[in-house]
Amino acid sequence: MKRKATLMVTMLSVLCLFVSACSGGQKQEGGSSAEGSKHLTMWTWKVAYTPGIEAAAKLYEEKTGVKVDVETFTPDDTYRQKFQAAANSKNLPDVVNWWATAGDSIEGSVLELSGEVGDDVLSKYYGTAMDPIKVTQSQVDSWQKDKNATTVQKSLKAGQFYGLPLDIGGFFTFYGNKQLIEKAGLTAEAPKTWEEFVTMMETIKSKTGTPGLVFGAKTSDLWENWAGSALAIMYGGPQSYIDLLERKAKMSDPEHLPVVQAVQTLADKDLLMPGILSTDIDGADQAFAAGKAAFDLGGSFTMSTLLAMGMKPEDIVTFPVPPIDGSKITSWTTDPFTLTMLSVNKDSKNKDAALDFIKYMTTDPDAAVAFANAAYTVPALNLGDRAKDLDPNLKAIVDSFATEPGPYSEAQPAINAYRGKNKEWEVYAQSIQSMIEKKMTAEQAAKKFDDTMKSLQASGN
Amino acid sequence: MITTRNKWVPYLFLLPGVLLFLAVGVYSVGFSILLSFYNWSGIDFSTARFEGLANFKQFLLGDDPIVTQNFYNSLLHNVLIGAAQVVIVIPIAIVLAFVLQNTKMASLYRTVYFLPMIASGVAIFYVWKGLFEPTGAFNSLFHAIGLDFLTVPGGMLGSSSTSLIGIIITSIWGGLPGTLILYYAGLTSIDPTLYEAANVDGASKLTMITKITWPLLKPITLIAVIQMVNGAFQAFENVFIMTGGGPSGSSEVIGTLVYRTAFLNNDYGLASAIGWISFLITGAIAMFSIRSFKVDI
Repeated sequence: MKRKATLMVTMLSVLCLFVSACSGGQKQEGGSSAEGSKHLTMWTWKVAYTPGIEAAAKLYEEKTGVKVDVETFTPDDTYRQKFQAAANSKNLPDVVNWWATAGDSIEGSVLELSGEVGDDVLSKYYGTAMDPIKVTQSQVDSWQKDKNATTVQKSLKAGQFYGLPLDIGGFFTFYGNKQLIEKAGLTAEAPKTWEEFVTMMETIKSKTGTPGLVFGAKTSDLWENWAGSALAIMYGGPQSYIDLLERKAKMSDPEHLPVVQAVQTLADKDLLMPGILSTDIDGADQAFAAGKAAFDLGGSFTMSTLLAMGMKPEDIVTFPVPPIDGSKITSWTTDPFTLTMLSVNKDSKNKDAALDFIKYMTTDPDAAVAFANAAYTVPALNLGDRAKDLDPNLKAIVDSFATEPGPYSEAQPAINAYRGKNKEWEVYAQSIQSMIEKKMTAEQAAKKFDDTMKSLQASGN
Repeated sequence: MITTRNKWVPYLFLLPGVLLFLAVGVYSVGFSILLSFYNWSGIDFSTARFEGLANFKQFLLGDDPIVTQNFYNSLLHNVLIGAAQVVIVIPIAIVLAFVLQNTKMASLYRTVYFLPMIASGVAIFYVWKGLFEPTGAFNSLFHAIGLDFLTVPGGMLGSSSTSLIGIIITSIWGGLPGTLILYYAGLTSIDPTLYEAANVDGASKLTMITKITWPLLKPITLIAVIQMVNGAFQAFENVFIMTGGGPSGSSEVIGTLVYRTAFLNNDYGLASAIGWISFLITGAIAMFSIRSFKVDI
């Protein structure tokens, strides 16, 4: 009898050990501590942002006594998986830094803020800062019609938002190597047109032997995201690009074909850095910083990377994507858009404190300046006179931003709604890579886009 | 001694392992099968929507032409990687196994040959990436020895015509040690008296290889083929690091397609469905191989 009891105890112990080993435990990995409201936890994936977030968090602690612990998980994919695993096991931290977007399926795990945050807060941001975060009617309509849309996407309503904007930036920026430009006998000034830019690159290549342009072409859709859409919006106007996104126009139309031909020109004239198709974004910046190409395509965020790689601001000339000759819009003002946002875990025990923190971090000028200078990114808060406290390079970037919503803002809702969903854009991104390899002409790429669009429409996609 | 009173004790000791297997193995596999019939974005399964066979129809029957094209394109690349591995690795592994068996410097060669097995894949594939670059070792070597027609100006991985070749080269390099171990073990296990008897009977070296060595290595070859095909269908690390599946999808494999579908497009149902079809294809190829070789393992 005694032996049986011993065996029973052993069995139960083994089971207990097993169950405890498999369980997530009571203490949340990123969740709140026992101290409750005196302690918040936050996750980000941006290594460069961590010092900035910590700087702002320190100010918040001084003001409220609430400490914010920041944990960083990188790279992007790892962070997404970490978030998903934590969301499924209800182990999310109080505050989450996320890509500024709507319909990314985190909505089931974070707090919907339209009832919590009013215009008194929202009016403090740049005019367009909430655009990518707030669910639009066009997105709602698109998800309702899309048979592949997720249940979360189909449940969203226009006007809802799940985060507050942390920082803004813009793509569509070329960085030029001043020394190389001047070595080729040119003036280091922004070209007025795409054609002038191409001529500049040709001259530099013939005089110095250095290829004209590098960008992270390994990422197939990077060209369209960082340059192509700006060229298209300038050439035909925002509505023309919206029509293409909404499948009301064709890529082979005269309003769009010259934009495709712009890429072919780069390939035909051998202006791209050899090996560009196996070069990622960081690799492109490294190649540019090492003088392997005269120009680099990036965004407002690229400057900090180049400076970290040893370049000096005086060695670099920056300018926005220049318009193709004959464009309806003849100069591109970098229309900033929100890069990342802060959200509150809907199951957090410290919801109120977390909400207070994200409001503070995104609307308090001291916090915004501390964050921006340490993270080297432009805050979404409209700083007004306080912009003078920003690092001079950041201040220069802020000054280059348009103060009013521009053509990109007009097209952005359609870009958000359709460019990821409509797969002709995936095919087009691959066609751009084929054009870079000179295996496809602009006309063929445009036809392939149109044919794919037609076939997808016919199959109800 | 096992008595009727304590005969269930052994099962008690097996219990943790069984529970672990049920929790980790069976649960995850079962969940993955279940998932392939749902539309799910990866967070909170209560938001998953049952779709029946829609995910499978999407890429098998052309319900979504792009996903279908991507799937068959990737599948073809996996098949090519597997075929190239089988055709190239097996002869090389047999020759090297003979060398290992008959050389005095066997331990040195073993270390060199088995290096790919012990080296970190991520680090090594970054090195391979460098070798394939426009100014990397391959182009420089071809240029130096006058084989300019073999150089790829944009680098082997930067051209849609050659990116898959680059992937295949690294797959062969990575697949060689495992196969070599199998053949080396196979060769050393052949009874030497068989060769002595054949020698007495006046058999030539070639006859000994075709009549003794090869038949006795057949089960090893079958295992090697299954292992390589399985490895080819699980290819991910080298593709993800070196090309990301590009340019223009020229090196996309099922592994990177599943990754992209699940983790970048948040479509876990479709990704699971693709993964399961890939598993079934691998299983079918393994069964076909067993029948072709007519051996029992």
